[in-house]
Amino acid sequence: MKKLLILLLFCSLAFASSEWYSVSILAILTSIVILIGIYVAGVALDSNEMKFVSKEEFYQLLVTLVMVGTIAGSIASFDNISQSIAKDLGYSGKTTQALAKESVTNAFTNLADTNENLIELSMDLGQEGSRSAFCSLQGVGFGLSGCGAFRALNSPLFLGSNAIAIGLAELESLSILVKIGAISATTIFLPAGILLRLFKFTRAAGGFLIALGITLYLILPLGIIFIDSTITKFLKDPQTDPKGKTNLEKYGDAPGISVSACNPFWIDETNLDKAEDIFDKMQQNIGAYVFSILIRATLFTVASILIMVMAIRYLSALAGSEVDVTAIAKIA
Amino acid sequence: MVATPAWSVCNAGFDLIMQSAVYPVLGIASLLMGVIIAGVYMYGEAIHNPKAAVWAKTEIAQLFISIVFTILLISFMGALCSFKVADVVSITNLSSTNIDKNMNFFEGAHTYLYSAANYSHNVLKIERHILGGVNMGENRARWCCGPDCSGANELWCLFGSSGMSVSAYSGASIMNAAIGAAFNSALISYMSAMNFLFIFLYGISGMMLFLFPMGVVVRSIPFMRGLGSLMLAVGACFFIVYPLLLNVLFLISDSTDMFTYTVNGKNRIEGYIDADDGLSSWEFFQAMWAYGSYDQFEDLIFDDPSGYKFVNDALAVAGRAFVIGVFFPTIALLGTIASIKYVGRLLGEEIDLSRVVQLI
Repeated sequence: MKKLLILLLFCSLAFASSEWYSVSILAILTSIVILIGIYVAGVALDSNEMKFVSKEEFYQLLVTLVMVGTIAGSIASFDNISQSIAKDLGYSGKTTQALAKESVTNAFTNLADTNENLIELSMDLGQEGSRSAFCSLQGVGFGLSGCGAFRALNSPLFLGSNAIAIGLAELESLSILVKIGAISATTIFLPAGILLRLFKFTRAAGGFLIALGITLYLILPLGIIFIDSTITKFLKDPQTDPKGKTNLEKYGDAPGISVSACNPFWIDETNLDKAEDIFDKMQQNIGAYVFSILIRATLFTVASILIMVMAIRYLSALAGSEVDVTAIAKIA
Repeated sequence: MVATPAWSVCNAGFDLIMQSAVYPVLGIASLLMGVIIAGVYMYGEAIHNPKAAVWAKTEIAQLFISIVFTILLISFMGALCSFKVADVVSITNLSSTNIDKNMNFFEGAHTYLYSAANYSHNVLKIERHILGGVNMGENRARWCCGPDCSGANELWCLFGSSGMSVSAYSGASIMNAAIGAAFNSALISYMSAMNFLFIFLYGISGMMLFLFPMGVVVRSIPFMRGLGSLMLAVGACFFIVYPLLLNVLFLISDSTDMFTYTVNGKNRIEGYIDADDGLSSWEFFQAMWAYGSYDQFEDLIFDDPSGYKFVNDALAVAGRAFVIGVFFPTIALLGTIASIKYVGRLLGEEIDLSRVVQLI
């Protein structure tokens, strides 16, 4: 049974990417050399304590080896799971990390477009709302401010702009996390974590780095793809429309809103009607703007970060603690 | 590469201070403690007091540990000075990095913090340029009485000051809050990066000159081993762990293109770092003369008139500056403080760092 388990472990290691696998194996070999040194010193000094410590640590080394095998075996599986989840999203990435990066970039671009639409609307409204007229004849004159109704429309745009700024910052942070995970998890966090976990003194720190590496490399990207997929399915589901329309796909794209020109000399209701028309258009598209800002940016990021934090918490407890080998042996 | 100051480690000035001040002080401190311990031992033997003899035997071992630890650490300096970034890159396979691989361990950390401060400062300039442009734009008004104004008639021009006023860019004020927040964020990033840079420079120069000799002495004084261990642990960790973490974070941030101004594959804002602020009075007059009232001066407000359209990019780089200048150095400092606990445990005493951490 034990031989079969070890064989299975080495089978999974054989498929591991060479990038981090070699460094991890190097760390494990270093640890073996140190443990042998402690054991030899224990024999030479006739110290039972040193011999016991080296044996105990050797078991922990085996546990670490099992962890390395499990991680190596999981990477390919995660890629397959991600691709199956993301098949309806239209992304071209082949790995979990590439798909997550596409997902975050897509969300950022979507929100940036929404922001540009909002800015354009604000600029147009500002220009039309600022118009005023003045008539003068031989020093006698009067002023007309016939475009005041346009200025009232700016307040909600300010609120929306502030929310978008926060959303863009959140998505950029998420993008940075995904990039760090894709590049650094297997080159820095996992090898360093494996090395540190091999020593009793630094086991907690090693466990934390392993948890951080696994979370940034696998759990966070998978969480992002899953949430993106959920949002896309929500948009395509006709039954979720609160107003009974055929689908919610219109929420996926916050459109630009055109502004009619204002003439400050017209003091009848013409300008007011124009402003009301613009307000109606804003009302019609508020769903798309709210969806773009609060769901695709804020909720998307918050849920992803929540998944990441929870995964780090549980995995670091799992990898950083002393593993009771005797209990596992009893199960076997 | 940004060279470390002449009085910091790996430079001739530092070696001079070590040889002329630190080594003699260390030697004298160790010798003095040895004499005190020997005196106590002889006193214990003379009056047949086993407590004094046991204390002396314990303390001589502790003094030996302190001296060995300090000698090992000082010897380690030479190794770290010849340790290159290329060595780290070869271990981690982060071959995509653009970092100068000939930098040594301390130069790498120094260059990271210097680059972080420089990047944050550049982002600050970008935000200030766009914020200034937005403010100029929203306050610009045009008075017109000709047919180019919507609804106005050229006849109005005949009646002196009759006409229409319009502020074409008043809607740009929508960006004020966001760009203002990005500006404040970049300012905090810049100050934070500078703060961590000074902490680092102090860590690799003056701090250890004080902590090592004092640590050796204090660690051997009764009831003060905790403080002595803390001094040695703080010196060692700020000397090794802090630069190490900064080097690793430098590699991570460089490999993830965080020091660039490119957002979603487009670099549209880097030009604002050294861009002119707009038009001088004479240029403005010339523009008015050339374009008259038929133009909203759209192309003349900025060097690049469409700067406000890249507000998304400006927000993104402010976020990066925060990560590079605040988040990463803080992580490095927290990691260093955590490692002080480990090293302190190695030296024989548990050190309660919860209060130290609260200071951050």
